[in-house]
Amino acid sequence: MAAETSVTTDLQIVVFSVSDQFWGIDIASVYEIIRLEKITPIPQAPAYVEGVINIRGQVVPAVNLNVLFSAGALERTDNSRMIVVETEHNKFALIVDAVYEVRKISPDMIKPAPAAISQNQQYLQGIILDGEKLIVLVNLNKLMSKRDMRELKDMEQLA
Amino acid sequence: MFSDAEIAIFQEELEEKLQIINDNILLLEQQQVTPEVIQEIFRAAHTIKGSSAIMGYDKMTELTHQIESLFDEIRNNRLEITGELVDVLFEAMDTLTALKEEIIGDGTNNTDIAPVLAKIKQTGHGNCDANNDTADNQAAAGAMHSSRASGPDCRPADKTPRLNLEIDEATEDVIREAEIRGYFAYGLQISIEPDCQMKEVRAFLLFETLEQAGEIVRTNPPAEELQAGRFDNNIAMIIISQSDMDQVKNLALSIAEIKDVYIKLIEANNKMPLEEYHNGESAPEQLYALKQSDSPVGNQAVQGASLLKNLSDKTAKDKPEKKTIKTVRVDVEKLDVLMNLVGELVIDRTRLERFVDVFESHHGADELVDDILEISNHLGQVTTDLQDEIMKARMLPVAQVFNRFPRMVRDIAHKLGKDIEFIIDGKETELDRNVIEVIGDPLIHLLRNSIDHGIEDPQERQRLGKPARGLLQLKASYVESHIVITVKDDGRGIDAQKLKDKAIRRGLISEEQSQRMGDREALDLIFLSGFSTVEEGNVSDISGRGVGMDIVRTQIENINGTVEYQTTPGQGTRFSIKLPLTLAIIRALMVEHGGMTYAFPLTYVVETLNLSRSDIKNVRHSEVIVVRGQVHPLKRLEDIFCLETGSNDGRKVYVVIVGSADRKLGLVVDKLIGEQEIVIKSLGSYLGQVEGLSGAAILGDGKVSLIVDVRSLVRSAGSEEAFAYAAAN
Repeated sequence: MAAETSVTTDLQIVVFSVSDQFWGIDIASVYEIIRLEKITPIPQAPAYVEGVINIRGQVVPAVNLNVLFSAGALERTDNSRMIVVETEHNKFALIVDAVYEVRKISPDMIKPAPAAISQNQQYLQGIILDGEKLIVLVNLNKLMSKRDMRELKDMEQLA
Repeated sequence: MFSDAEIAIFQEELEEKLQIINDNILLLEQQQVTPEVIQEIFRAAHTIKGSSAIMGYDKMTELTHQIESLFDEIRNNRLEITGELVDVLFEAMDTLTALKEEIIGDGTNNTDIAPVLAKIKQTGHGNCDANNDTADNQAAAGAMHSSRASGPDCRPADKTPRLNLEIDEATEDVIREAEIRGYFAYGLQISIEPDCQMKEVRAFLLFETLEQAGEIVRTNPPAEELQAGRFDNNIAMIIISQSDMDQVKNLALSIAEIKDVYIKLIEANNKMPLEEYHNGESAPEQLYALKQSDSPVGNQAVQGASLLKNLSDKTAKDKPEKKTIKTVRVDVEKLDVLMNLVGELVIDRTRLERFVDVFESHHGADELVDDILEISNHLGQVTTDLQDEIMKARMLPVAQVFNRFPRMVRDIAHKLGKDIEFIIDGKETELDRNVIEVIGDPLIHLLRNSIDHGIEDPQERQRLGKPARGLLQLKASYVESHIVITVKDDGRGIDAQKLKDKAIRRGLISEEQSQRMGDREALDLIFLSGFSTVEEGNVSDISGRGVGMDIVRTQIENINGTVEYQTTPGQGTRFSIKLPLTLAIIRALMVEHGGMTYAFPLTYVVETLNLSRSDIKNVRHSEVIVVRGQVHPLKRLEDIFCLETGSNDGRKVYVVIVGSADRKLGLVVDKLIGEQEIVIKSLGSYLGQVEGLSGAAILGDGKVSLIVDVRSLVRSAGSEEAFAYAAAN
């Protein structure tokens, strides 16, 4: 049916790496990708919020995905980037290890995340099998929503 | 159907007119019955009647029609203004407001206007409609009589022949329209010196001159005849103008060879001829000419109506005190966007200034440097002006809020059986519209408090030797770059001891705490959440609605304002609300600490000091400094923000003394950078309120600086340190 052909339109995702793992986000929610900027730390902010940066006159929190994904230590290299994303309500800068490419993905490449791991991590939208590579597709709105963040944080503390 | 825009305009006009009627009824109640007051109400009611009829809101049309008729009676001195009448009028206003809510709201149609209509009819003796015409004629005749008697240039009829000028329907419409818009219609009889050469030139000059004051809607003889010089030294005309009678007359007299000018005010509905005595010979044919609807004069009259708009521009130049301001309605959001853009520009300006400095130090003085310096200066100037103008565009007079209060005060006072004189000052003071939106509720609360708790009832006041009538003052004024709004009453004041007792009873403070409290701190108890000064079981339906002083303070502080108050038991209380003129851009003191730049809003900065380390004293594990005999607690930013820095080990330290209300606090910083204008940015909803910070600002180099929330720092420091302070002394 015609409707289905339109659904199968390729999805464009930005592929980046955090903690030696490939991740992908829908390009529609990416505002821009920039080199690391001077970050102003915010007192008493959660550990994964490194501070705020200035994105063309707007003060935007910078989130370290390494910390958020509980990988802890982070090494800044020349490859480190900030992906400025816009969710339903907010703008964020995600600090990532490196940004690789923008890929076209056909929806049938997206496999549901195994229930065992997605149970408490609803931000996992699916897993993309790309040859040898595994790319974890992230639902940003879920990832950056306050409630989930708090849950993540609690889990972090429990761990 | 009407478009949303049309409905919005109608609503806005309605709101405005209702306010006018409300204000003027209050004046009536205060026995300030002047023709202007009556006229204002009449006009406003008339406008509402007209526009609501067009929109098809029948009940509103009917009600305003009755109000209008009532005022027509009053205007003609056939109805006296009594307390009963004022009450009926207020009831009518409430009904109108209810009708307005219906229109704006969900389209329900439940408001019953019958009871209030009956009351109006009863008050007006039910004869409002029947006698309209005669009443007007009597009034018009009266007006004519008095103006003739007082006019010094008025000559007996037999000496100067007068022309007749009959007002046809088209002209009358023009006059009525003009009246509603606040213009006057005058009839003029002008005679030119008999031996005048080239009368047509005089006539032309007369037209030219009088049109400075307004619009000539009719003449007799018709304009064509005048141009051709076919008239016998007398001209009659009707002019619509905002100027007063003498001005128009003097304009006419300013032309050479004008012998005599007779002028009188014409009112709509006045179908009587301008002049009762006829010029026997020429009148009939001239009258005939005027009555021809297709005659040039008739057309001129119709044209006059369409010209009324231009007229306002014309008269605006001549009479600045009554000028009509040309306005454009702009969506508030657009203004906000503009303001943000200007904010960006301010940041860029600062960046450019920095760049110029760097450029200069690299290249020394040469032509290029001069050029860029000039550009930078000019850009700075333009940005500053732009910023000012946009800021002004966002300003509204506090009258927007204040105008709601007289009625409210009256109602509350009535309900509580108190006699109160309510004085408002500084209505014209302007504030950012965002601020205006917020101050309404806190002010309502303060006013209510004053009436309910502050001002005693008349008997008690007399017993205390005070005038029976209590005084409540609301005043807005500029103080430096701030607005201060005060609510002042001459009531019983606030008793610190009673407050303490109450707080103990409510379990808000302990007995021990209360004993250590000074009067000042005890008074601050009113700002404790859950605190009310009303005696238990004595909560009237006016106060005790759950809005406490704590909410008032929070609301005011949310817009960077402060609330302070002084009270003298038995003599009254004065609350002062200090507000910034605008919210978006502030001046700040920039400091560096631990490699970071922080901004302190200048409002809260008292002074900066350069102290040696030995000036810092320890009291009970907390640091304090003594400045001119006063002890101030000292804090370090790294402690407040849990930072690890605070590197400065020199012998000198910089301290910024900040303060809000009576409390002061010293903050240690590494370096003072200087004053700067900053644009306040929120930290975003994701981070939300961060303790100790009130936002962020973007600096010239693109970095983000944090704005220190001095108020909360001072408050949290103040409560801890107060005891240390007391112990130290």
